[in-house]
Amino acid sequence: MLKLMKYELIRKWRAILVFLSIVLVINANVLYRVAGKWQNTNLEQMAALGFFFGGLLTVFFILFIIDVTNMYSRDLNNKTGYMVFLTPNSGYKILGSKILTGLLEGLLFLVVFLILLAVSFLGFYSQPLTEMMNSEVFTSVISEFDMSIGELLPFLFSNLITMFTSIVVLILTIFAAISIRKSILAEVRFAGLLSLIIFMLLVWLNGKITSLVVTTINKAELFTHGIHYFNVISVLQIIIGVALFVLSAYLLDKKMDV
Amino acid sequence: MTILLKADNLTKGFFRNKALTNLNLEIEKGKVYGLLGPNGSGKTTFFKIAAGLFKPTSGSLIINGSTVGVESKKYTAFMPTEDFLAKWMKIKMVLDFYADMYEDFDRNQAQQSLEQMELREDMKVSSLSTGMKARLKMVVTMARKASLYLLDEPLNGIDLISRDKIMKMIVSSLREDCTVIISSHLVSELEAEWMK
Repeated sequence: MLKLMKYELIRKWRAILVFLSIVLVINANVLYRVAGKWQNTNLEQMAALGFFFGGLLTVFFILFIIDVTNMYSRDLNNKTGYMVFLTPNSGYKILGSKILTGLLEGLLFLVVFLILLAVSFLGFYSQPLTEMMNSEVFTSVISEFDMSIGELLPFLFSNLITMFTSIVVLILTIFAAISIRKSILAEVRFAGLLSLIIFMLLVWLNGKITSLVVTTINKAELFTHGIHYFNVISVLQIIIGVALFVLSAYLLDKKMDV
Repeated sequence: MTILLKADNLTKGFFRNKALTNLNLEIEKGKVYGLLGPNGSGKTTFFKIAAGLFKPTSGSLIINGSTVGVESKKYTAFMPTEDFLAKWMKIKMVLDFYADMYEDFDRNQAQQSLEQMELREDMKVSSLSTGMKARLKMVVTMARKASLYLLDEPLNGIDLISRDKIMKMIVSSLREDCTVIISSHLVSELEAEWMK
């Protein structure tokens, strides 16, 4: 699997480097205009930067999902995919390598994003940031969260885990939709539209299962006994993710013409 | 006689068309076979099922005692007609890829064959001509010490000089313990090349 990942990464490292260089240049340009040229207040400048980083995160996420999807569909729909599918690797290894490569790529995007965010805000606005955090408005907002640090950290951690598992399941749902379309429904017309419909059905099904489980646990009042809402969703997403992974790998191995 | 490959009632359909219908076939170890037939007779479909790229609609295909899958891919070397080598790679990386993925890949033999085929490791796949790509496909396929070689239309659309080189390479790579199946719809051309 590591060898498969190696070639995926070699294939895309240049494109990633070019993309991240462009992001770096745009970030520098925005900083120069906002922090250097603008005559507005610090707060307005920070708000503008906040919008920029919000947009950047959205762009990163969309491109990440498109790229990970392409990693799989490109191999299935192009003859160059034979290079991978002729090798003595099971569907599990091939899919696993693509998901892990995608996660590494996502991690790289996230690290770059956090570095740019930290450099932009802490580097240029550390003084107004400190003032803002000490301001009455900010402290009163924070005090609204009735949590100690000991409670806040696990809360944030379980939130992050839930976000992470949800993103992985989103990728696996896309892979499963492509796999079902290319195998069980290979001989049906309107392939692209069909993939989209299957994807939406799988997302809907996932939502239904999640809400059913959460409602059941809620009724049993288990959340009050130390089981957190986010932990339940994370565990559920892991189970659904494993099911989607096994389904896709099985179809790739046993049912799919590539 | 040892049977290396056995097809039992092998059938493959695409939409309403049947590419293969109840194919029964036995291929022995250590022999060279020609799979001859007109376009659309199912030669490529058979190869792709044997290589694990297509799944049969019904029937079975056994290679060396196991059904087509991860195990059979370890000792089956398939050369498709299509340009399947990644265009972004240089020839050196194609060799790296094969060396990483196949335990039976002989890099030294591949390097020697590259010279014979007038190819260099620093060439990019995307910059190769049709004939050069065909020669490269042949180099990496035959550099494997596989038990079964499936060569799909190796001479199709290839210039005379490349044909000669490709046929020489196939012959020089033959071993007593390997089986080769070469498909072609140009029966006379394959015969002529083989007789040389």
